[in-house]
Amino acid sequence: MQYNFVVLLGDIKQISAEMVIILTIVVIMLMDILAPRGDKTLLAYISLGGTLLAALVCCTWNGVEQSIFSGALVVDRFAFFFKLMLFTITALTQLMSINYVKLRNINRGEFHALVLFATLGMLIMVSGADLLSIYLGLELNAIACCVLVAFLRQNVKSNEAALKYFVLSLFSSGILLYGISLVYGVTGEINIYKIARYLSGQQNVSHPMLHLGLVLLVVGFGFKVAYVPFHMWVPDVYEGAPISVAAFLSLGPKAAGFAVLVRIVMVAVFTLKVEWSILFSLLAVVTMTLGNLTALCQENIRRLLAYSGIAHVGYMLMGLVAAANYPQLGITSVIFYLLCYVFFNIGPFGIIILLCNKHKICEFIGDFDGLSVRSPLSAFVMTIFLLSLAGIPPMVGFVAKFLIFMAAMKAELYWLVAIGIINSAIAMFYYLRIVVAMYVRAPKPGLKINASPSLTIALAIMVGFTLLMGIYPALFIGFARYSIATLL
Amino acid sequence: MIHLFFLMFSLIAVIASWRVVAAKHIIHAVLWLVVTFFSTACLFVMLGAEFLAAIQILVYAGAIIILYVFAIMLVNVKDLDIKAHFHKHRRLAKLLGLVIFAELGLVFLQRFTFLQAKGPLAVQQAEWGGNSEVIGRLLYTDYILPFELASIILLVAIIGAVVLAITQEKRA
Repeated sequence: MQYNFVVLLGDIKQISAEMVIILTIVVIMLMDILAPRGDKTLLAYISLGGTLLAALVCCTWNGVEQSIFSGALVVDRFAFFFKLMLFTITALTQLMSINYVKLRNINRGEFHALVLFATLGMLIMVSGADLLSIYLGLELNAIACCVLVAFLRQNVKSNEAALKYFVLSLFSSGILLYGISLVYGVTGEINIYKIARYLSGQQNVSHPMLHLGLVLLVVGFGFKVAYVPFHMWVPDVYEGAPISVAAFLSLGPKAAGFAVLVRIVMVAVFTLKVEWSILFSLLAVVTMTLGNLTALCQENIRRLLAYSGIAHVGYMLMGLVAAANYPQLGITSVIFYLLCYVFFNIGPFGIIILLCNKHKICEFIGDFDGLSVRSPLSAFVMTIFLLSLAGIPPMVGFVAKFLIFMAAMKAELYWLVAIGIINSAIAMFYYLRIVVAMYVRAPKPGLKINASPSLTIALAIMVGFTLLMGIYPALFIGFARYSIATLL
Repeated sequence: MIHLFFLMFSLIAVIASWRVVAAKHIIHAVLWLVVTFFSTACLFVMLGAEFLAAIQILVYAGAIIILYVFAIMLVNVKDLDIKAHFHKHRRLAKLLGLVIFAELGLVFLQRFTFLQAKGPLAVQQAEWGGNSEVIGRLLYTDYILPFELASIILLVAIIGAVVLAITQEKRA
């Protein structure tokens, strides 16, 4: 098809949500220069407004599924689902940042712009239909996130975390590119749908070079999604980065990475499902077990959340393994897990921000001693998040885990389910440890709540959704099922 | 004949990039990097991508290497004892490197068949008559999105560098 101006305009109309984000960035950067000494809080509100506007624009999508920019991107239900999720993550991060950046003296226009840049990268990743645009989205996200991690310039830990993140993301990009080049070498295509078409036309798809390319792709995305053994950066980065950035990183890149992985393994190389299901089942076992066992002996809540996040990725991988035999059920369980994970995983970071003031950050379990006496409400909210993370029945975490285990059972992966259940039991211990500290121990002097309206709103949204999804999960499961209907 | 040249240049590239990693002196590493870039450029010429080869030499072997040399000059490298930090894991790293290298070798030796069909670029090159013309047209039509994305990435990199390098004003 001849590519002309009219087609280009039509394509741009399809990515109007991304265009809104770019325009917001431009406005923020311009206003940052025009008001050099003023208060930057206005910029934070502008960036939040831009995100909400983009989400609204995204919702006006008319349901037509098509590939745009000569197959570089695709607009479909799957991308729509993940885009809404990413806008939620970004909006929550921005709400949590408004007061926190003032507290840590990093209230600068660039901070708000970089959060949007990182979001833009992830938006490209989730709707990317060829490996080139996926890679560019990933790189955009990685560079923006790296600067965000380093934002506390006076803090040694922040610098260390940023350097680790930078070096490892470069390294993983190299591996990813090598994988892409091998896949291209075998199939002659970089478009996911064309790769699928080429492979389905082949008699024998078991080409060693393709296997190697797939393994390298899995390794490259492994750094983003953070499964063992590519998880080394996670605890250090969560500990060193500004807390709201850590909350952002704990979900955004993970969700985007999973979206890309699902698209690649379910569409491009579905013909190799025997091979990748073995690979992912091994990764799932190692990730769950190592994540949970290491989380057991953490005193720092941020490191604990990092390791628990790694363990949760292990459960999600289990769903992906099940998807080899039962695509519908497996992928629904994975993306539903991601969706509810958004609310109850960012939540604890919000509570940590709630407890920090200018001089001290309460990030150790000991700092939470007797929180229920000082502030019953925040202790209660934290308990809801922790119980959801642990997956205790009335909470949504249970429903999500149940779906994953059910999918795995149906795919007859009994050994994997057994390991998963043992791991959930182990995980119960370290989540409940924080609950015990909050409710049983005597309060420490100097524990103060530093609530701001924006943070309160963010926490209220997260608690609200965690409870709503726990009470009425069918609505959200239905949405997840709807979003993958045309992908598989 | 063409296979011989291909083997020669790729061998040079591989050996030079090994030397980049193994060089004791950081300036030597940079110089070996120049060799790697040049042999890669030669490979591009052999594939009929003259424009890419020229860019490879101009941008990488030219601009980027100069940047590296400046960076090394500004940072006093003598103070850094690079070797001591990595000595602990040296054996393990060598072993793992060898394993991966052997795996790659096995994969490539097993079936040394590449796609015989010419890519879309070569076809259009014949049609539009020229290397840079094709790249220019493709960049502004089929690959417009990746092209614009790359420019956004550069913008982020600039903003990031400014954020990290700028002196923070002191506030009470």
